[in-house]
Amino acid sequence: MPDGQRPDDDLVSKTTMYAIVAGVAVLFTSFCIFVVMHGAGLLTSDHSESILQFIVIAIGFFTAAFTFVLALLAVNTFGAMREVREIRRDAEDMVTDMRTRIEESELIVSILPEYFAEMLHASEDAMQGDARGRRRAHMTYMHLGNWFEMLRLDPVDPGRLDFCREIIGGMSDIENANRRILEETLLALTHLVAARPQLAGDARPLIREAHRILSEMKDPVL
Amino acid sequence: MINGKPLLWIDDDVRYLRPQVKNLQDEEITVEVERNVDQGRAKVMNSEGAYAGVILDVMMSPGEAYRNIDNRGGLITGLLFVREMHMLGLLASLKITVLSHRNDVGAEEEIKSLGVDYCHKADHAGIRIVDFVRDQFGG
Repeated sequence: MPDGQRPDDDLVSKTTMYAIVAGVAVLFTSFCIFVVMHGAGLLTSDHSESILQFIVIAIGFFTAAFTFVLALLAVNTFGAMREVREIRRDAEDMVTDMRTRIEESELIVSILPEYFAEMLHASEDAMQGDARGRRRAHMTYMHLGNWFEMLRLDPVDPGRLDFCREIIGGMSDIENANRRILEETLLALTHLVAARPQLAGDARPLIREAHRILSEMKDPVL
Repeated sequence: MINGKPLLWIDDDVRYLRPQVKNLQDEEITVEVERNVDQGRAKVMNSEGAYAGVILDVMMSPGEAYRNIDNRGGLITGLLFVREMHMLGLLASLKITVLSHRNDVGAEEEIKSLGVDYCHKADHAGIRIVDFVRDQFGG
């Protein structure tokens, strides 16, 4: 769920509720103390004791204790509600993350066969003594490895920039380029810059380079 | 060790580095790896003959030293490094070899024109790295 739709941290309303509960508790306790003192005759000059005074004192103490317990319960309830909200927020983050991982896994599965086919062809060329085939096989392996390593990082992790650099830079020779990996890398780079604008300075030349390579790839090499 | 000195390898490409360094260590060639170009630069500046040589990547995070220079998003950080070492006159006393995945003809020609060898990682992966290092730095 996007940040905007989250039940965001309602610190102000919670503080208000705590203040109201505390205020009511203080007022009620003060009232009870007043009743108790009045019942005990402390507010008058007449200090004579009676059953009625005892009952008033008992009611006062009972009410004060009851109010205190109620206030405690209210505070606990608010704490629990906050915890539930935090748990829900964490769960939402996990769900989003897992959905992204599933999409990426599907992508990996779809790309792997053609990638290994390319490695096979390149390796076969290398077996014939073609040095360029050997290099192409190595680069194919490196691109795929770098791309996997990149996917292991969070989509907004600045560390992704280094992997994008290795992939895009390694494809500067279009003989070693792979259109799908390059497009996916470009997409990842664009997302990264959108989430972290401070990386734009480093990312922009890479994006330009990726577009240059894509425009020069008349036919996909793979 | 190569002639009693370690090799300094400045590269942030972990996937390539890890197996190559292991191969070199298996042959008892000591390698100091520096993944951060700023720290690698500082080591080279203060090396005073401490290293048998330096292997340098081209594509690296630009770091703080080269951030304000047009490094094309880190695609030519190694070229900027070589240029700086050339300007400081350090290339005469320290052997630097560029080892990169990048096929940038312009960068390769400029690096070579400064007297620095430019080689491709794919050609020297696996156990071939040992012969490559011995060819380049002796030992």
